[in-house]
Amino acid sequence: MLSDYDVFNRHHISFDVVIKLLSPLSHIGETVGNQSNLRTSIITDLEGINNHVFVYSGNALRNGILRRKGVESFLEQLKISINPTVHQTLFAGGFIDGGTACDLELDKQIRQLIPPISVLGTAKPKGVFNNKNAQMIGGRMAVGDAVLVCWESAEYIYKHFPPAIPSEALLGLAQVVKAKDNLHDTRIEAWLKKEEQSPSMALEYKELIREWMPFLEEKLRPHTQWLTWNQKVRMDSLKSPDLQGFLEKEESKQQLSLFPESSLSEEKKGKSQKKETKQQMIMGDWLVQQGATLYSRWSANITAIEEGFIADALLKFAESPYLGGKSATGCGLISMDVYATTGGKSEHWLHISPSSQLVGDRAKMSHQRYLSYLDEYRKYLEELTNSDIKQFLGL
Amino acid sequence: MKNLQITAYLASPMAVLDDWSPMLDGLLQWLWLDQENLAASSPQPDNLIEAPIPLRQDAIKEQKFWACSSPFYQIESEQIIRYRKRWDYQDRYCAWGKRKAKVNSGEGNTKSYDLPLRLVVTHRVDWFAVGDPEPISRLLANCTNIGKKRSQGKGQVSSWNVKEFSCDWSLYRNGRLTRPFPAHLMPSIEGYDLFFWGWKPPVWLPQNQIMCCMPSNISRNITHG
Repeated sequence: MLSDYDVFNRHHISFDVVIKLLSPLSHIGETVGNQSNLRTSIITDLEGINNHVFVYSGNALRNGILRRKGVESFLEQLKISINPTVHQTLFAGGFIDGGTACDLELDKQIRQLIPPISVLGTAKPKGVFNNKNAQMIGGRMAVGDAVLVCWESAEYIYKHFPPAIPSEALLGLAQVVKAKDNLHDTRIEAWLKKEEQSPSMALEYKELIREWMPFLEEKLRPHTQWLTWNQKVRMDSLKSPDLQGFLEKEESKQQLSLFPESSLSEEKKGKSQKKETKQQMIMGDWLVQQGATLYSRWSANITAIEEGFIADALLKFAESPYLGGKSATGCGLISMDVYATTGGKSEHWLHISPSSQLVGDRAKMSHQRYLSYLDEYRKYLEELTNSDIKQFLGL
Repeated sequence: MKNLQITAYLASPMAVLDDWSPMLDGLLQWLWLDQENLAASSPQPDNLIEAPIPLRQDAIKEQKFWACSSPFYQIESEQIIRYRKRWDYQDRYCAWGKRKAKVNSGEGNTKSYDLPLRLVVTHRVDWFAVGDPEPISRLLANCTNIGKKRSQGKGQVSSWNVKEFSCDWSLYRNGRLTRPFPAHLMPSIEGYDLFFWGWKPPVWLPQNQIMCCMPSNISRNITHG
């Protein structure tokens, strides 16, 4: 499989990814002082108004799941470890440290030997992969932001993947979106042809908005109604009443006296108790509520083995399906459904949840092909003590 | 060859740094090279391949260029977002050998980054060109994203539409430029801003950069006429 692997035998495939939040999700965009704000993107809603809507960034999905988990699984199955520069090239997208070359043969070789890099791309530094020049390796996959399914994003999601929208809202959405698109295109065409625009379409659109908006807003809920505020307080354990008993012990005093900054040493310096303030930290964060749905669209032009790599990365992620920050406090637990469309055919490709994974026929076949590729690769590396491939990987 | 209006319907905001990008001739060239498995991220002048794209090739004073305008779009909103990179180097796959497992994330090759990115929210982007609609449609069907940071889902294209158009706006519209054009090839430069600009693909190649007259307000023209 290694020798006859044609990296140019590609096919277009798009993935519609629906993520359900099983616990609240934290994904910070900007932090101002002690205030962390969720990451948002501007989306034009059904009324043509620009609104900020929560998104889990495509960059985080691409590098946090596919690259991190996919490369980890790739190395685990080949049973190899790599030097820090190659590690950075695989896991962090590398760096350019000199003039860039354009070696199409090297590009092909990298794609043959490292499918994760072929899918996700990297900036190959000088000296890595047994080649003295730096070179950019373009990825073959675009991963879109995962957009919160809400009133503001309804048009975007309806146009790409209507099943992600609650079914009772579909009829109203279909009518409003059609009228909006007709109005928009007619307006531009009228301007291009220097014609007057008939007001009838604008009236029809306004009428539909008036008729459907209250219902749609109730069913889909505005962005802000999907958020929740989480405030945490952390006390200084030395001042905690529950722990005072432990501090009184002689041995504790002796131990604490070893630390010059401790409260006991301050006492020795004669500082009054009045000056001591209660040490506590108050933190507040916005989270996306449990039960919310996110939708992301991925598109790729990849080989069958590279498709198997995507399945492998997602199955590795399924071992602990947490997204975003604060996973130590239980945030970010998700389930994920991936639907693939290629050659005009769509199917349920993969389902991930904390308790189970269901792999569709196509994903199973691609994954199996990728595992066979890795199996042959591993045997090759084990059998040959000194080979071109070992030199290539810097082993 | 026909006068064409080529439209990309966008699903997500597009990352662009100026009003004259992305150019359709460059995009078609890249799509052709990718289709032929000849696409390279940074080709050098000595191994540059000029793709035979299905656009009319015009020439003024022996300077050849493709008959294609800059993009026309209505900016509905703008946003600055940030994108980040951090190398998580502490895992069992990294063989540090005798070195201490430590990197400087503040400088050098291992520096983490947190960079701003300008996004333009727009419903559709239009180009005006002269070419063959069928082969153009076939090439564009493989293009899923336009602009910068496509891998992160920016500039996601829902659909492409290539249709005949009544006028040739590939270079001029009502006597005003519709694409950057070298100042020394213009009959008059009055009323134009002059930028040092890459006017034909690949635009980053020094040989393709020259002092150009820049079209103005094309990113608003579509709505305000």
